[in-house]
Amino acid sequence: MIKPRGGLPPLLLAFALSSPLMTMSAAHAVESGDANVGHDVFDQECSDCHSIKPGKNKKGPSLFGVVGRNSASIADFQYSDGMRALNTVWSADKIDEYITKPKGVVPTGKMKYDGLPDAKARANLLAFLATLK
Amino acid sequence: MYLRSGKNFSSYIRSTLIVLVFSATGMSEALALPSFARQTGEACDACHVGAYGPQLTAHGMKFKLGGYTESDGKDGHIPLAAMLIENYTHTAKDQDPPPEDLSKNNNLALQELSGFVAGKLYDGFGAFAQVTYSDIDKATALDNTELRYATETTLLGQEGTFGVTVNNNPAMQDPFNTLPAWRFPYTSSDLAPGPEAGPLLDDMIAGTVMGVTAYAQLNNGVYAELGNYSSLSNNFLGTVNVDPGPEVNGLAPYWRVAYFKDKRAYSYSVGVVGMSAELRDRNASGAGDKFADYGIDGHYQFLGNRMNIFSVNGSYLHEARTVADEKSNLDQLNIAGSYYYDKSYGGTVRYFSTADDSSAKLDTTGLMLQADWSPFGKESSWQAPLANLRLGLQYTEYNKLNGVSSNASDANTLMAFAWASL
Ligand code: HEC
Repeated sequence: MIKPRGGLPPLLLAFALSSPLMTMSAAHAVESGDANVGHDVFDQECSDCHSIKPGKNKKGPSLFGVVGRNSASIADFQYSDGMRALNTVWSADKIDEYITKPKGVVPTGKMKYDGLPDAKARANLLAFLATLK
Repeated sequence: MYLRSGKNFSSYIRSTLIVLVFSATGMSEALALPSFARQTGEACDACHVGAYGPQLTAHGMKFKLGGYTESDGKDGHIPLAAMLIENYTHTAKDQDPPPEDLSKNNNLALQELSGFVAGKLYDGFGAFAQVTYSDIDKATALDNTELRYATETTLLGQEGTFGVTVNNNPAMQDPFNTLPAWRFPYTSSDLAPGPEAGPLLDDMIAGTVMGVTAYAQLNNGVYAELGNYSSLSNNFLGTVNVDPGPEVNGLAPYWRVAYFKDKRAYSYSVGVVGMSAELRDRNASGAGDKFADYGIDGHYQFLGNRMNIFSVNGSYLHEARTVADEKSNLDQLNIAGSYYYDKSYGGTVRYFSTADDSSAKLDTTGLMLQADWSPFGKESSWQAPLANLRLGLQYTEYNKLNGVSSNASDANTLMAFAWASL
């Protein structure tokens, strides 16, 4: 199992609070989202290449616990050199930036995804990713 | 499948053994072409509509264009798989004479038992090679087979996937499920009457030729492919047990241009295709019969969150032919629409027509309906030690068959099938 490393507790809390079970949403870094809707966004946009099961890599690494995880930290996944060199923590903001335009964050990366321009869809997706822990 | 009257050199037992050997090499997971799924870490449903081959999702189309080589990055995947299709065929009226060695009606048959080498062989190199035993033909033969090399690069300022394929069936390399080699129906009974006329691109020289084509799928959506086919030698075809059929005089050029977009929520393609060949008897010399095909085709697929998947795939092929000095035209239209719920329950409707203005007038029109269920092949069924499976019912109704309308409905066919991958 991959535990989130490098703490961003306030952010995680914000996402937990923005989950549909807790309708009273608190302060948040990105626009607050609906994790249920976000699950659909995940199935549509990401599920071909990413699993949400811990330790399950497809074409892309498992996204279990990705919010707050160090970049390129799944040991048995072969990241691109660009991703290895990124050296960041996948905060919600950073993931948001990455999935808006993957080549903007990792120009030589190997995630063949054009990007998700819809901010609302990204917010819902991030709310869903935050529940994966 | 183009097993023709077989040579009987192979027994059921022997084929079963081959498949058992394939299975023993590690088919533990529940998948469509298990070797592809093991290689990518993805379940069948990522690449196949309804979680069962061969109808591709946009993701599967890209996997194919990428040379069957994308993987989860780990080593040691064994590119072997196996498949079997058992079916039951009922025709509205008994067949007279009955299919060889079988009853006039209600036949149960092991139609295909196949072994595959399918997946990445080396960096950039992949294969899809099928060997099929048919208990109807009592023979084992080389089926659809291709080797590909593909690479992602920038050529003449265009980013995209560039590749070369070597294969034995024109358009089997095509990813869009619109052309004859891989369009609906993905299985149909070998034991029922059917249309006798079809264009060059529809099985006429399948398995008896070898083609080399180069292709590019640019990131801007443009797909282009160009190459040539020529006949395989009698010797080679004898070795792989394929009925040689007619010979291509010289080369048969094949070309294809399409526009393909994968928007993740949906995908579509529109394209044109062409092929021409001069065919003559294997031992003849001089000019043969001439066939020139031109076609348009397209698909639209709504994928959404994958719970409700709609697809429409169609093609219109026009052929100008000169057969024994008679010039004629053949036009073939095929359009199929399918809906799959929860990547498991599917329904497909297909309209088909062939218009033949030669003196033979082998016109055909009809409708086909299919319902099927694929219980496995999803990520959640990942650990299941079962094989992937599709169970289906298919009904074909003819309004006209091979030029005859009056009793065309005698050939209406109900087929039940069980299709398993191990
Ligand atoms: C076509 C396949 C594909 C799709 C679709 C895709 N990804 Fe990826 N993803 C990858 C690959 C491959 C990598 C590894 C990138 C690298 O090494 O450069 C990756 C890496 C990532 C990473 C970095 C993970 C880490 O461990 O550092 C995140 C976060 C991510 N993807 C999120 C997403 C999200 C969210 C979506 C949906 C909006 C998505 N991806 C869609 C293939 C894909």
